[in-house]
Amino acid sequence: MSIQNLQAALRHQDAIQAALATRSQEELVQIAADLVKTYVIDGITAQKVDVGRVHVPQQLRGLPFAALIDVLKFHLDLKELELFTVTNGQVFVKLGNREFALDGSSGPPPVTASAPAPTPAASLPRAAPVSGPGASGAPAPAARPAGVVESTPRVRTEVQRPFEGGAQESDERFRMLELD
Amino acid sequence: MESVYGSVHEVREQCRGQKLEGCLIQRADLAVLEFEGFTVDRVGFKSAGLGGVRFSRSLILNTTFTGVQFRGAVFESAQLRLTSFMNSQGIEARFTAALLEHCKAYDTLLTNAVFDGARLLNCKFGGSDLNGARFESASLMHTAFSDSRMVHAQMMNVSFRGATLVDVDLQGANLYGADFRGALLMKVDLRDANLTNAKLEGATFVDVATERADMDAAQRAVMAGRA
Repeated sequence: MSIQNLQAALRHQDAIQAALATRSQEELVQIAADLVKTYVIDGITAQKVDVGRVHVPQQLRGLPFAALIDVLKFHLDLKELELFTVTNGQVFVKLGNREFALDGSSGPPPVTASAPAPTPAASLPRAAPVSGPGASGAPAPAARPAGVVESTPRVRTEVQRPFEGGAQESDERFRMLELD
Repeated sequence: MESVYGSVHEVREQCRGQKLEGCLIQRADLAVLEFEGFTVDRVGFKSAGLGGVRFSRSLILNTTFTGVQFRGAVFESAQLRLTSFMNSQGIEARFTAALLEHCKAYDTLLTNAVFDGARLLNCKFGGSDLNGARFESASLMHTAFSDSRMVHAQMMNVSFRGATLVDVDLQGANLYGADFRGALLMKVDLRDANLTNAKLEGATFVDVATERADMDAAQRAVMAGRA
């Protein structure tokens, strides 16, 4: 039995004991008698032995989390898994336009080949690659010092810039409608 | 060949020494009779009227109730073994503190029936209507509420408050508004069940399957012991 299984079994045992502690002695005697009668004397097996058990394949049990995410992404066609990326053994999750490392102890990997190596302080979050005017050639926000990256408004400004032009354009279009 | 009785008078004649054995009673309205403390063995009740009849503290063995109307019948502290209810109507029947072992209730109306403090061992309730039924502080083991015909059990607003459920099949059951507060559920199959508005606070869940069950994040948190 693995350590995880043993811990889960112990947790179950504690939960069962805590639940039974609220029962009266008469109830406990009846429950114990019924359990012994049904499953020991009558020898009945549970209707669905596997109920509540999640069978994890042996080859998955020993995998580190990053490798497990890779396996899940490869085998499962879930769009939510696309939010996870694995780079250099680290798992990042994409929220909005930004990616956050699940393991805050190490810095994010470089987003592009030309980007400078991340400093230890530049851990979380890293910005997603920004497409659009002015984005090409610029170092990825992930490579910036932590203080700069954590300045949320600045990151947001960069990301939202492409949409600002569109908003002005639509304003002008509406103005034309009003004239009509 | 078993004896067949069709009137109250004939049945009363057979009820000597608080025993009723080896007979078929059909199309008789027995509402005026009492079976308290009786031993009822190998009896078939067919299309009989048992509304409000008291079977309290009786021992009912190898008996079948088919097409019987037993609304409000009282089975308090009775022991029912190898007994079945088929296509019957037992609305508001009372099984408080009763022991039901190897019993079946198929396609039977048990709306608002009361099983408080009862012990149900190896029972089956396929296709029965248990809306509003109460199993408070009851003990259920190796009992199934879903059947092979995939007829989902109707158990809206059922109460399992403080009950102990071990090896219970509730797959696909409609448990809308069910009350599981303070209950202990071990090896319970709740897959595909409707648990909308079900109350789960204070319940303990061990090896409970909930795949595809209709429940919200708060309920899942309670089940996982995170709330």
